[in-house]
Parts: sequence; structure tokens; C-alpha cells
Amino acid sequence: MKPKRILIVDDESAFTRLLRLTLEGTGKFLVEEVNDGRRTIEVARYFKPDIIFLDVVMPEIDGGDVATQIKADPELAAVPIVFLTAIVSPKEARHQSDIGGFPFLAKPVSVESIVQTVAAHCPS
Amino acid sequence: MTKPADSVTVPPKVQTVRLLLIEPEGSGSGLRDLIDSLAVHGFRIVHEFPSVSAAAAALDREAADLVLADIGEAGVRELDQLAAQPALNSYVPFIVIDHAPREDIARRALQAGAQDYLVKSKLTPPRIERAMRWSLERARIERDLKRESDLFHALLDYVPDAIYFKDRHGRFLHASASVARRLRVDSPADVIGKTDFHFYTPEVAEATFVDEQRVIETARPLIGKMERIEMPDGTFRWSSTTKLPLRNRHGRIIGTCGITRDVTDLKKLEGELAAERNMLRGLIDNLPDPIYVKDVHGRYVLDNAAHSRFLGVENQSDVIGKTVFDFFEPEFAEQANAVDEAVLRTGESRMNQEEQTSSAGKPTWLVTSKVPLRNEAGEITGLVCINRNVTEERNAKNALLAANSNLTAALADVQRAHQELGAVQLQLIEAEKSKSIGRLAAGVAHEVKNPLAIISMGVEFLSGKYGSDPTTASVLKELSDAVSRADTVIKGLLDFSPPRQVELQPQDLNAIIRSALALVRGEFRGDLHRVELDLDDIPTVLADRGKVSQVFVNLFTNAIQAMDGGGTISVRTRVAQITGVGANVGGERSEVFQAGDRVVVVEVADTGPGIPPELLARVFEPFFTTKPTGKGTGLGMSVVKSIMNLQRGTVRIANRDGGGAVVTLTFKAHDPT
Repeated sequence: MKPKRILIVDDESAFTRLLRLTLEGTGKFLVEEVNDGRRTIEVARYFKPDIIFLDVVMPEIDGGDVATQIKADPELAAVPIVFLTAIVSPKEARHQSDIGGFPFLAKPVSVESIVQTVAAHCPS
Repeated sequence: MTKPADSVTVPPKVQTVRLLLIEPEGSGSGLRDLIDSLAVHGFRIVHEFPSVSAAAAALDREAADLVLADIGEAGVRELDQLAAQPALNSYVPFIVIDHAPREDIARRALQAGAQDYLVKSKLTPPRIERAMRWSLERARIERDLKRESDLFHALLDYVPDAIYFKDRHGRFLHASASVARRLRVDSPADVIGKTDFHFYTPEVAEATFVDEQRVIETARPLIGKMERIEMPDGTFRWSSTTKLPLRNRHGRIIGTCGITRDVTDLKKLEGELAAERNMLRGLIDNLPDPIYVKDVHGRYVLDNAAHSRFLGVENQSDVIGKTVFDFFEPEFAEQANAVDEAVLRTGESRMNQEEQTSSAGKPTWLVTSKVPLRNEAGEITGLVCINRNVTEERNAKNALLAANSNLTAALADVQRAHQELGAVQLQLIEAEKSKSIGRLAAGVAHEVKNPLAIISMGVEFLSGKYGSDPTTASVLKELSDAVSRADTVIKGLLDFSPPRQVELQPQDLNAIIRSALALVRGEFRGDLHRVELDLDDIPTVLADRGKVSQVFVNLFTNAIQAMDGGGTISVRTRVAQITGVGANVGGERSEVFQAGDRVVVVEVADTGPGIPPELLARVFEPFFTTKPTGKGTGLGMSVVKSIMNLQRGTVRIANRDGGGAVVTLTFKAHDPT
């Protein structure tokens, strides 16, 4: 089975690295990390992810803006985006889970929830 | 036969006349013989003296009715001695007898008071008898006249009333001593021949003159005329004057006689009495308390203005002679009358009795004092009663008591309110604290959650690599639990974070309701909870989808929690039109709508126990909750309220007739134009 390609955009490199090592350890995923949000489009164009996990609050660029850029890019517009955020309570996350078609996952995320989310958005 | 009794001649009884005879020695006894011959006529000599001086003692004693004095040779000397005898002039008549007729002696004798002058040589018994009888008669008349004159003069001299006689021209003919005193002259003689004009002011004299002329002209008396006169000494005196016409013996009116009494003191006394009476009357009339006097039969004999008013009578005189039964209900009248009778019977006063009655139809409280009234002999002749109307005082007292208890109640309310305020203040402090925590949490969460995410991810990574070793696995498990615990704390804090700005977009409420229902689906228990949707075709509303979604999630969550043992949530949407401010679907914030506005109304009802009515008003207070501790934060409905306010909508909560609570949300319909 062809591994799912996951792009993780988050300024916390420790988090992206550990997530990448863990996901790739399963053998089911290919993971690319972006720690500077401004480089998201550039990386995504060559990596061609099946799904993008996007941090909301980043120093260089806001997650929302990154999402807008992705949706504006003809090559990437169809790629599903899931936000990862630290400032949303589970309640809020639940209410806003379908706003603008962008699901949320509240940090800290479990590997299992990532796996389920990928499975939900990228059927084999 | 004897002679009939009526033929017996009874000699008339002869009055004995006691004679004192003075006849010098040697002048013979002619006189004695003459008198003796008159014995049958009652003349009897009781004393006989040779000279006047010898007879003096007997004369002093008035020991005779008539004195016959033969002045003999001594003549004039004896006559002078006779004249000097005080008794003779005044009381005992005397006749002088001379030896020869001497004109000068005769004149002197008569001047000295002798009744007659006789010449001894010409005396005969009839002549001397006649002379003696005339003398006695004349003396008697003189005596009588003198007595009357004396009485008259005593009257004039000693009666304090002024008595006076005036001629037709107002000149004094005669006046009493008191007239002289009144007119400030020494003796009555000083006024004779003068008129009032001589003594009084022209005004007074003229008035008097006019009065007297009227008496003379009309021949009718003026009786008891009261007048205030300015006296010659300048003082004013009150007089009572009576004037009568004065007639001569032919009946012709020749003047006036009058008697004037000074009544100044009487008048003064009368004035004082009147003043006292007026003062008392004025006092009684002007006292604000009703006063009345009753006789022994209970009839009013005196009342004052306040009492008449109290009885509702306009005229004080309408009260006099009536009884309490004429003015009051029989019950009260009997009661009052019984008290009166007790006072009259026992003579004991009844002081300050409180009684209830009605005056002019209004309930009235009186404090009454009743005192028996006694005459000079000490007998009870009636009673005096003074009432005091204390209704206002009583009412004021009662009002004060009521006000006092109201105040006490108000104070209790204030204290309660104060306590509630204290509790609310604590809640507010708690709320403020919570908000601060929320803001802090929002700021901190990001910084904390990212490291937590790293740790969490690291733990998972290590678990995948070294999880087969049991000891390592247990350490990693503890790490993972610690991360979860920290995360739970952060999540809890984030629930307090303040609402963000709203983004109002046209939204389909039906769709939001459906998705919110889907979100809480996990909390339903399929066997117990049912959902009934009655969603009309409704226009869009301008709303923040996330916020409104939160509203429904909160409402559904509350409904499910209210129906622990199962029940039905009914959700109904419809379009309505505002018909009037405050009186319709809008509820408490209906001022946000105007009459004629199209609105979308959403009702969320449950079949739970409802909300106790006294708590309904507090449902939207922050931290208010009916749920047990730990089951709710008490923020849900306050969040609903604040969100609805942000949407320019309203929210209202009520209990349903059939049980359970119903929350009504009203949104303004979106008009795309």
C-alpha cells in the first residue's frame, strides 16, 4: 500500500520531528516538516502531500493565511487541511470543527488521532 | 218692771287733761277754782308751782299735758324764763295768763311759743276751757307736723340717694344732703334756686332739663333711667334716675321731684360679671375640645362650638334641650347615658375615659371627663363634660406603628438584599477572577500546549521504539498520564477564555440546529432521549455561526441534563411578525425589535422538571446553576444570553404548562436588500 504523504507545518521543530519519526515508524506514512510557515507552498508543491496539518499560531505567518494561500494555489487547492491549535478548548474545537471546511485538532494531539484524521480525509 | 237697758244714759268717756299750774303766791286762787269747775270735762291740776323756776324740774319731766302760767307781777321776767324751758316749746303747750292786757307782753308770749295769751280778770270757765282745748289741738297738730317734717328731713339728710325738688324752670326748691355731696357743695342750701346748668356740663344739664320738661309736659314719670354722667368733679358715674311731676295742692304741676341713685359700683360689678361671663363663654367656645353641660335629665343646657361641630349640628342652639339620644346610635347613647347617670347619682367624677363613637359617620376616639355640677346648696344639678378627640393621635400612633413595622420589614429586606448583594459580589469577584484566568489561560495555553505536544509526541515515539520493555513502558505511561493531567488543566482554563468578536453572516438556523444536535448526539442515550424537530421554512438571519452553534449546544446539553430519566427535546422554528413592543415573542429585550419586524423564533423545550419559579429570573446570572456541584459551571445560560445580545437577538425562559422548561430565542430575519 502506498504510504500517505503528510505535510506538517509548525514552528515547533521538536514537535514536527517527533511526529515525523513516530508516523514514519509505522511504515504507513511519508512525512515532510515545515517549520517556517512562509515556505509551506514551496515545500508542498514538490512534496505533493495527501493532507496538510497546519499550526494556527506561528511567528512568521498565521495558519489561517497559510490555509488561504493553499486554497488559492491551483495545484494544492484540493489538499485537505487540518488545523492543529493550542488555543482552542475541546468545546470550541467541537463547535468550530466544520467552519470553512477546516477541521481542528487540539494540541497535544495523539498519534492515534492523527492516524484517524488522515484515514478520514484520505481514503485509500 | 224695770226700765229697758237702752234708756240708761252712759256718760261719754272723758279724756283727762293733766294740768300744770304756775300761780304766784298771793294772787288768789282764781285759776284753781276755775279749773276745778271744769273737772267734769277732764281737766285736772296735777302740779302746782308758785314760779317758773320752781316748776322747772316737773317741766323737764313733761309731767303735764298743758301748762297754765300766771306770770303775775314778775311779768316779763317770768315770760323769759318760760321761753327758756326747752320742753315747753317743743312738746308741752303752754298758755300765758296776765293780770291785765298788755300788748307787748302778748306778742312776746306768742313769740316765745305760747299757745294763747289770756287776761285773768276776763276768764270764765267756758272761755278757759275753749282756750285750753285749742291749745291742746294746735300743739297736737304742730307735733304731728314737726314729726313729719323731722322724718322728711331725716330722709333728706341721711338717704344716700339724691332727692331733689325743682320748679318748672329746673331750679332746685329743695335738696337732700346727698345732692350737696353729689354736686360738691357744702350744704343743700347752696343749691336752692340754682339749676343743673350751674353744676354740670351743658350736655348733661341739657339732657336732664329735657327729661324734666317732658315729665312736666306729659305728667308722666320717668322711671329708672340708667345714664352715664360726667360729674362736676370730672369723674363719670352711672346713675339710675326716677323723676315725678311735683304738684301743688290744687293738683297743678309746679315742677318735678326726683331721686337719683349712684349705681356705678353696681354697674362696675355687672360689667365685671359680664366680662367674666364673656371670658368664660369665649374660652368655652374657642376651646378645640367639645364641652357641654347637661341637666339631671341628660338634656344639654350648654355646649360650645366644638361640641356642636362634633354632633354635626350647625347651630349651637339646636343642641340645647336635646339629649344624647337625639344625636347618636342607641347603643352608644345608652352607654354614654349610663356613665352620665352614674356621675349624677354618685357625685363622683369620671376622668379620662376612652370611648369609641362616630362623628359625622367617621369612627372617632374620645377621651372624656365628666364632673358633677352642684348648686350653692351642694345638690347635684347636672354635669360638665369635656371631650378630647384623640382619633388623629390614635391614627398617627397606629400609622407610626405600621410605619415602624414596615421599616423593620424594609430593614430586613435591605439586610437580605445586602446579603444577596454580598453573594453576588462574591460571584462577580469569582467571575472576574475566572475571566482573568481565562485571559491568562488563552495566553499561556499556546506556550504550554506546544511543549506538551512535543512531550506527548516524544512519549509516543519512545513507546514505539522501546515499549516492549515493561519497565520503560510503565515509565512512558506515567509520562503520558502527566501530560494528560497538565492538558486537562489547560483545557479547563480555556473554557473561561472571553468570547471573541462575532462575525455576522446570513445563516440558516435550521442547519445550525441540525449540526449542533449532531455535536451533542454523543450525550444522548438512545433508549431514553428523543428529539422532535418542527423546522419551518424560515428566512436566514444575520448571526455568527460558531457562536450560535454554541448557544444551541448549551441549550441541548442543559435539556439532556435536565431529563436524567429520559424525555423529549422539541425544537421548533417559525417566522413571526412583531405586532407591538413588549407584548409578544420578543420577551425581555423586545426593545431591540420594532413593530412590524419579521423575526425568526426558535423554541427549545424539554420535558424535565422545569425551573422553580422563584429562580427563573436568575437563570441568566453568571455561575447560577440548578445542577449539582461538579455537573455544571453555571456559565452556560449566561453565555447564551451574552451571545444572543451580540446577535441583536433575545432569549427568554419559561416553564411549560405541561411541565419542563422552554427557551425562546428570537432573531431578526435577514433582509438581503
